[in-house]
Amino acid sequence: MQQILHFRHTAKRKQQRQPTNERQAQQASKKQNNKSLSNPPQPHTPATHIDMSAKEPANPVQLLEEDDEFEEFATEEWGESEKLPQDAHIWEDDWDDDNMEDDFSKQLKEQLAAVQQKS
Amino acid sequence: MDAGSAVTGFLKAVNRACATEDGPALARLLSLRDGHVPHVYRGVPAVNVEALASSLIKAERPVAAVAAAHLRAASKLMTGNMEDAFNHQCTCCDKLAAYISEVEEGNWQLKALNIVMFELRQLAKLVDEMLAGQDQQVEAISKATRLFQDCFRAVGNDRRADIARSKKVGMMFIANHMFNLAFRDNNFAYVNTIIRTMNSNKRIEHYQPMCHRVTFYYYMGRKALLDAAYGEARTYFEKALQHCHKDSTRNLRLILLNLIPVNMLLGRMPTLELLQEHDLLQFHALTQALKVGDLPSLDKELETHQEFFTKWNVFLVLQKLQLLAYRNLFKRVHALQQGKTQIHLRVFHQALQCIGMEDVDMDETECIMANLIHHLYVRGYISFQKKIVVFSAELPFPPVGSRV
Repeated sequence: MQQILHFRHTAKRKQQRQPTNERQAQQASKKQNNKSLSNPPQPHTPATHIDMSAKEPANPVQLLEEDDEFEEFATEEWGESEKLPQDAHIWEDDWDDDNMEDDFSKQLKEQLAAVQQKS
Repeated sequence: MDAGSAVTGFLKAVNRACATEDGPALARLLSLRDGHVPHVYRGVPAVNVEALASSLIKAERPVAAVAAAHLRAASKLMTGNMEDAFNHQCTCCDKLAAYISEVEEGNWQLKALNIVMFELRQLAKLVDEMLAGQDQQVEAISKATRLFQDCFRAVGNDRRADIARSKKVGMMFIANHMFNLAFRDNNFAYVNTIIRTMNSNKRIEHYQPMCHRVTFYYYMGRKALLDAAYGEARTYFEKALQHCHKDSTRNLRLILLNLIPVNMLLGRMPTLELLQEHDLLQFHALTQALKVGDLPSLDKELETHQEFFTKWNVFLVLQKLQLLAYRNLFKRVHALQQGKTQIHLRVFHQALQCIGMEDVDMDETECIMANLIHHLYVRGYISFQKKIVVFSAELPFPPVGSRV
């Protein structure tokens, strides 16, 4: 059974600990900001209140509409004609067809040949 | 119309909707985003809405509570008190589910339930976000999730054989709302049970409106992706893409944001047209680098767009493309050896040096090759003593999609 060793170069590459969830990252930085505030005492508005000093009613539509997540569809039902055409050229399956005409492959060929000649 | 009579008018309209089983009307009346809200909310503080509702609404008992809770939620929402609006909306949802359970026949109320649940989940997210980082947590999302779970159970219990009129058709949109919250909260405890139930109720899928189905496929795909079940993820995202409304730009983009990395991992590359059409050019250079095995460029592209990919939860999946990149590079090296089936590892090491990966030594080169063989990207074996790779004469680098 072959041992699968850890790649040294992967480990060396800059390991940035990204939070697995973007919101965790946002919340983490918010927490930091709140604790570092040292403001003079202000009238306490609960955090779940929107500032009503403008004395205008809130806009429910704006407040409740989707953020950047999967949104409600405009209609409930739709037919085939309102879906994406099935014959659109959106995926490439032939990229692997032994084509070495690109710059990268040509360069590799030259350099490898040069190195192999030396050795 | 003064605010007081607006409240009365509203309650009478709810009564009428229930009497005539008018699903769309009830859904409008219980929506916080509907036009009636700005007219009605001012009248709420002056009135005992529960008592008024009870006197004006002749339908089953929960309906009066539903209507009253909606009015209270509207009033709090319009005056900026999000937490109270959330709490009243919880009551509204709870009582509506009770009403649905109580009425034996029909499922006309489900449209209204969908609206109420949607707005409840939006309020939950809003409240938790407003309190993020504070000492006091309301955990609105958790509360909403538990409530949704009860709703799911309530509709799931309908044993009616005629699916079209069964309350079970509500299961899918409830599942969708729960998915939405689960991904926000990163808590999938409830969702796993939901998925099991949905899988054993596949018949109801075809009775669902397209809007719920596409959303469901999207979330099932995302869950599969999270569980590294790439084949399954692809199936769901492809379905979502196939059936999605073509004008739903944002949703199409979200589906593709997930489908593209999965397809790449499984050996299918996105065309430039696709990326341009859906504003996803962040994938372009990455794809080009991957196809030829240009690892330094692939790494660079991942780093350049790290924030973008992380935001959309695909960064970790994209990192797995590195092994495929090694496969593509080594395939080229193999092709340059003029038909030799036994190639010294040194040659591959040299290739890595040539493309700028100077810090990879012979041990690691051997390790990479071993990995490629182990993951079925390469057919052959390594002679450890001689440090030679013995490739299969036939299809040493089988098509990527065929490995699975």
